[in-house]
This record gives sequence, C-alpha cells and structure tokens, in this order.
Amino acid sequence: MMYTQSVDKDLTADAPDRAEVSLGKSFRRVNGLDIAIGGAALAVMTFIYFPMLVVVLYSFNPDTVNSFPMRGFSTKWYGTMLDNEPLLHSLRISLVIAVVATTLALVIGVLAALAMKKYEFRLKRFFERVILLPITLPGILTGVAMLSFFPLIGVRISLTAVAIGHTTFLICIVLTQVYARLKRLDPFLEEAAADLGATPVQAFFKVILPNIRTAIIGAALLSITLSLDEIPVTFFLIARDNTLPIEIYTMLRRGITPEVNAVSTLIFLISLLTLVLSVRFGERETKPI
Amino acid sequence: MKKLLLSALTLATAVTLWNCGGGEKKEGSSESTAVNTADFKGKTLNILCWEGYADPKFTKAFEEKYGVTVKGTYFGSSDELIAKLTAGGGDVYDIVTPSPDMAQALVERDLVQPIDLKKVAHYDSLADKLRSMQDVVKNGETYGVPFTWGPDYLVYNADVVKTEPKSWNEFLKPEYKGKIALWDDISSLYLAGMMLGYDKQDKGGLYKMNEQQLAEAKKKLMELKPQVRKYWVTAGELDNLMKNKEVVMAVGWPLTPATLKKEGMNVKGIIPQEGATGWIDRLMITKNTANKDLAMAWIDYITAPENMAKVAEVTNYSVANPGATRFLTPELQEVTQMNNTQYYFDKLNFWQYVKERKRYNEVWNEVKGGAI
Amino acid sequence: MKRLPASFWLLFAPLVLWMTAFLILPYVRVLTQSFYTVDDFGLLQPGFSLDSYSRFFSGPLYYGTLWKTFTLSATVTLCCLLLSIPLAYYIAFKATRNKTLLYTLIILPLWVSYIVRAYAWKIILGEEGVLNSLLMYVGLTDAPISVLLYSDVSVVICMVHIYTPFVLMPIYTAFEQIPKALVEASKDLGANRFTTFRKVVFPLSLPGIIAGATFAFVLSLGDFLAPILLGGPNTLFISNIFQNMFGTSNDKPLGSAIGIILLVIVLVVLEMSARAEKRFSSLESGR
Repeated sequence: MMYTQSVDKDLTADAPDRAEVSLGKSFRRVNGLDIAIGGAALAVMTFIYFPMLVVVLYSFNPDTVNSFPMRGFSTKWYGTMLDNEPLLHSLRISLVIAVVATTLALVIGVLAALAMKKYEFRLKRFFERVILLPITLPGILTGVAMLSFFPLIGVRISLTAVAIGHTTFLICIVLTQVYARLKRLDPFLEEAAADLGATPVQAFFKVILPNIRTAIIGAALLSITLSLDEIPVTFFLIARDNTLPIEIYTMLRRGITPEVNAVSTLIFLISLLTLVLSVRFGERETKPI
Repeated sequence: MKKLLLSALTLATAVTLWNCGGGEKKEGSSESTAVNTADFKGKTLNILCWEGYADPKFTKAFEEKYGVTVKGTYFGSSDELIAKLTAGGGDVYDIVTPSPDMAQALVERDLVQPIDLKKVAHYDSLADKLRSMQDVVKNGETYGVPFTWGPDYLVYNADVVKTEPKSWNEFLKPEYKGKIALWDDISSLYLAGMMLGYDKQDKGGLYKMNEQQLAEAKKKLMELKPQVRKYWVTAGELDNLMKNKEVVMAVGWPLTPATLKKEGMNVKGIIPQEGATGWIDRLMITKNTANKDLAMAWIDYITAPENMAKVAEVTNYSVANPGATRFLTPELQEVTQMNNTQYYFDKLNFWQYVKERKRYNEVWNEVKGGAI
Repeated sequence: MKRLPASFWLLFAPLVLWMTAFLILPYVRVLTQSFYTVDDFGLLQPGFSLDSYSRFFSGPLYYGTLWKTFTLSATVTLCCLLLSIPLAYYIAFKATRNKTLLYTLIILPLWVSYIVRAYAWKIILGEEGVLNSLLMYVGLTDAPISVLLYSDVSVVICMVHIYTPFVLMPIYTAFEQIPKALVEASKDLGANRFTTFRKVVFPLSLPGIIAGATFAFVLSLGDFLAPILLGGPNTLFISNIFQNMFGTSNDKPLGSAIGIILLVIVLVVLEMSARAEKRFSSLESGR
C-alpha cells in the first residue's frame, strides 16, 4: 500500500524533448504548466521546511522568549543540552526501543509475509486488509486499549510495554512492504532453488533474502523513524523512563527551553548529513543481484 | 541501494547506544518486615509526581544517605496520574503526589495505604491548617502527608494592567478581550462559582454545586470565553503565554510570577476580593509498593525543615513545614508566601473532593466545546 | 481447501499470536468495558449496560464534538492532498537527477519530534511571532493577527504540516508505478498535458491518493496533542474528551464507548477507501 517502491529508477532517458524545469537545472523550452508545477512544488517544500528552519534558528536564541527577530545569538543551549543527563538518557532509551521493536517487527513481519506469499488460505484476503489496522487506528485509542489490557496479562506499564506497543504497529509496515516485494518476485525462483537441492531455509537465505533486501532495509528504516517519534501509544504505556519525545514534552511543560530546539537541530542535521552522504556514495554503488 | 548506507549508519549508532543504555536496570522487590536502613542499599524509590517534586537538588542527599536511587516521573495533569494509577501502575510507583481533587478518590479506591504518622518525625510541626483537612482520613487513619500548597490566584502583567485588579470581574473588561488565560481544569468551575458567590454560605459550596448552579457557572464561563486566549494546560505553558505577551491576566500559581520576575518581567499575583481557591499536594504511598519502608524514610526526610526549604527553592511553591522559612532568603520567603502563611490560610478556599466530578468534567467540556 | 502444512503455521503463528495478545484482546477489553458502569469513585462495575452509548448520543457535547473533529480532519485531509499531489507529481515526473534526494527530504522532517514541530508553529504564528512580525514589517497589517495561533486555524496548519509526508509517500509511489510509456502514448495521441493528467495519471494514481487521504484523515481524527498545544478556547477534539474519560473524569465505560464509536468510524472509512480503490483499479484494467 505504501512506501514500497524503490525510488531510484532513472527516468532521464524517457523524454528527451520534454521541457525540464527542475531545481538547479537549465531548461530549453519553458512551458507555463511546468512553471506552475515547479512553483507549487517549491512552495510546498518551503511550507514543509520553514518550521524546520525556525527550529534551527531558535536553537541559537539567547533567551526563552519567542519574539521575532531574536534578541541575539547564543550557542549556550548546546552546552546545556549536553549536560542534561535525563535528555541524553531518553535519547538512548528511544534508540533502544526503536531497535528492539524494529528487530521484533522484522522477524515477525518477514515470516508472516513469507507465509502469505507461499500459501493460499481462506482468510488471506481478510488478513491482507486487517494487517493495516494497527497503523490506521488512532494511536490514542490503541494506547488506551493496551493500557487497559496489558496489566491483565501481567505486562506492567514499562519500557517493555512500550516496545510491545511499537512492535505491534511496526509489524504491519514490515509485512506490507515485504509482502508487496515478494508478490513481484518470480514465483519459480524458490522452485528452481529446490530443484537444485536447496532446503527451504537455504533457499530463503540464498535466493529470497537477497531479492527482498532493499524492501527489508526500507521497512527497517521507516520503522525506526516512526518508533523514534511515536507519542500516543508511548504516552500511555511509559512508566519510569521517558523516551525522547515524552522527555521533550516533559521539558516543555516547564516552559520553552531552546535546548529542545538544539537537540532537534542536531538530530535533524545528522540525519540530513547521513542522507546526503548516502545519496552521494549510493550513486557509485553497484546494484546487488 | 542508496538507502543502504543511511540504514547501516543508523543501525550502527542505535546498536552502540543500546549497549550504553541497557545494562543498568535496578529493581527493588524484597520486602523486609523490620526496618533496617541497611536493606535499602541499591533500591530505587519511584515517585510519580508533579513537575519538580523529585529534583536532584533534594534527592541527592537522600540517595547518598541510604545508597539508593530516587527516580521521579513527572505527570502533566491529574488525567495522566489517574490513567497510570488505575491501570495497574500501583506497584510501578512507590509514592504519588496527588492534588486534593484526586486525593480522596485515591483513598476511596484503595490505591494508596495508610501512613503511620508516628514514623514521620516532623509531622507535628507541619502547618495545622493543612494537617487538619479530613479528605485523606478514612476510618481514623491518615493516607496523605501535606507537601506543598498554594493559591489559584489572579496573575497579571503589571506593565499592561496598571491598576491592581480588585476583582475577578476584571477579566470581563473589554480591553482584555482575548488576553485572558484560564486553567484547563474543572477548577475553572470553582472560579465561576466563586464569582457567583456560591461559597458565601458554605465554603464547600463550590465543590457541590447543584444542576442549576452548574448551569449558571457554565453561563459565566461562556461569558468569559471571548476574553480567553487559551485554556492553559501546564504552568510552563502559562509562563510562555505571559512571556510572549499573548495574555496579560490569568488564573495561575505563584510559580508564574516567580519565574517571570527572574526573566525581568513585572508580573504579580493577587487574591481578589471574592477570594481564591487553594490546593495542597500530598505525599501518598501506593497500596502495592514493594518499598514501603523506603517510602516512609523519604516522607520522613523530605518533611524536615531544611529539605522542605530546598523544595521551595526548586518549585517556588509554599511548603507544608513552616520551619522551612528560616532557611529561605527573604526574596524566596516573599515568593513562596512562607512569611505570610496565615493570610493565605485565611483567604483561601481549599479544594475539596467533588463527588459529582464526572458531571463537573462534562460541564467543563461543554464550555470548551461551546461553539458547537 | 486442504489443510495447511506445519511450516505455514511456523511462519504465520508468531504474527497471529502477537496480534491477538497485543492488539485484538486489548480492543476486546475496550469493547467489554464500554458496557460496564462506574460507581461514585470511578470504580468499574462489570455488567452489561448500554448507558454509555445512550449518553454519547443524548447531548451535543459528544456527537457534536465528534462532528467538529470530523470536519477539521476532513479539512486537514484536503489540504494535505492539495499540497502533496503537485509535489509528488513534480518529484515523479519532473525532477530528474535529484529524485531520491527530494523524496527523502520529504521524509526527513519525521526525524524532528512532533512536539518540536508543533512548538515551531507557536514561534511562527504567535502575536509577536515570525509571521505576524513579517506581515507588520511589510505593512500588510497594522495589528497582529491573533486568530493565527490558539485557534482551529493553527491546529489545522500544524496537522497539515505533520501529516503531509504520510500523504505524499503513497501518492508518489502511485505516480512512480505509472508506466512512462502510457504517458507518452497519451501525448502521442494528441492529448495535452492537462488531459493526460486527468485521463491517465490521475485515475491510475487514485489508489495512492485514496490511501494517502485515508492516512491523513485517520491520523488527525486521533490526534490529541495538536489541539492541546495549539488549540484555542473553542478547540476540542473527540480525542481530548476520550483522554479525559480515562483520566480525571474516571469514566472508563464512556471513554471506551467513545473509543468503540471511533473504531467503527475508522473501520468504515477504511472499508470505503478499500472499495474505492478496488473500483478504480478495476476501471483502469478495463480500459
């Protein structure tokens, strides 16, 4: 349903005579509609990135008043941030939860996707749709439902409960992505492997896995991203140790501190840098299989 | 393939950090019958409390004394407290600090346990007025020890509001349209009741309004509504509203003028002629705690005058032990009203348990959704 | 149908067990709880009572708020679509070299915490905020526009900002899947760009658009933070009432009933969008 396709298809060759209006690219023939689309795209990008810019800018705000323009420039909040042990602790916790939940979701999701690909069963159509529920149900509802039920089966509110909560909705991200990729695989791949004497397990690792690797990586990446900023479910299941978003919420309850902007700026810049690097080096990389 | 590097990096970072964050979980579970403070070593005391009630500035000494860890989890609203506690959080936390709107409910619902007051050395030196409240007493046993208290009074930006507001009705002045903030809580109904004089006969009248009175209170709040910029949820939010000049008058706690004065703003608080309601937060021990003795040790420790003074320094709230006053600077005595407690005790109408809380909440939600 | 082999269950059982224990049973619990009652101190009294449901429909507080939440969520959805479609179109069909970069740039804001992004809007929209200061500096207004913050407007803006990436992803994916040859063929047959979009691109991408719209709608329906952080005195979402019921109102049965009603609505929305998707994909194969 979503996020499934690889985005790196190259389309430059498909229409040599089409007028191009792309960012930073020269164009030959200017078409009004192209300009309109380009302009709209630029406007939307601006809308998306304007608040990001504000976050970065106000991380250098010397005081805690949000007036514009700022009354000076200061890097002190970056220092405060590094001294804020609860904040750093919550960042570690968030990463632990994201990795644990993503790993669990990968195991359960990939196994289930294989089952759904390989076997026909009566409720398959039903399952294909039900599996989307966890991400489409309102998080606050799921959070409260889990809060009401988990203690009954001995899962106390805790980081364990949070990890279980995250895993539950991450599974469907993994499952939908991997299942979609599996459906496009050549159905005879596995048979061929079996004919060559491979056990099903060997066939999976030697034949299937390399082919669904990008789907798995994409799913894992998205899962980590979503887990790191999950609020509604976490909000209800958290007990003693806060995740990063909840800790930020706690800090902001006592008043705005540009520290929060500082930590966001750092996370944002690190991910931006990683992205740019990966795109740069990724272009030179050759495609496996 | 372009995402490969990105994901590899992410995973690597995550795994590294996982190793840093993982190994240090401590759990205190063994219960001892005889109090032996040596048994405390290595245990963790978990406190579910309002912002700042488990600050390192006063937990450190306790931690060092007993070799324990004090872990505070802050809740932002009574909603959160109740949601956590009623969903089996009873053994996750050892101490909770409810406000009086919820304290009695916790007692009645059997979520907290009676406290042996003889073991709290400073109990008798806590303010009489606070100790004498009966809402946390059941069958002769006391379930809560007073911790902090304060008024819900009128906070105003004295640079904009030039003359001292004498009455809550100042909120209705046309020049303050869209410049007022009320608390997003049913206590706004108490305020409306006070403006309507429902506390004249009986101070408790605010907490047991009948349907007709509730309807009048709702009307009052709807009348106030065009004046309101925002119903604030947390004290920090109110500070921001005032700091960014979104509002000039509000219902607030002494914390707000104290914080904003430090930032160079001329913000003051006052009890108007109609009076103001007051709250008192208490220390309570959860029913199913595994660390009862440690929790008792905490209550004993934190109610001592010098420690209460530190609480006042961190939170800017008035504290329950008047003996704390001498440890406070004159400025802080002023801010926390510790130099003038009798005045507040006389003027304030302390919250009581609202039996029709569900109905109050419904009316308050009706006010918020009023434009429908 | 033949019996499924053990290997199937080996693969599939973890999913079934996990979802049963941690998703289905919690929701069953909410369902049963919605028929309970509470005593004066908010203690649950098991039983079978339709009281909570009748209270939901008895006065405008609950269904009126639900309706208002509905209209605001629909507004958010519409705005998200209006923003996503041109940008997705641009990335899919116009951008050449920077396609991956652009696409990932859309997802990147998800790495900045929701709450931080919401606070950024406070900085932008406040009376002394970035936008009002700019407007006054340029001379477009004399006094700050106060309706920008602490109103339904700011809640909608914030939600649109936060949910646009979720809408954009499926739409972009759908655009990408359209065979470029088809677009070329349409042009070769003399259709202009607009006709090509209307007759070829749009219908083919409809499943993606529907998926995106569903996401935006459902996510904003359940959002409780944006109203708290940015809403004004008149902003009340059904999720805020829902949270209150499990909190100080201590009315879990009514809260659960609201939850079940929300659940039913979400299921209906999903069903409708699934049907719409199916209809359009059958249309496209019939063409």
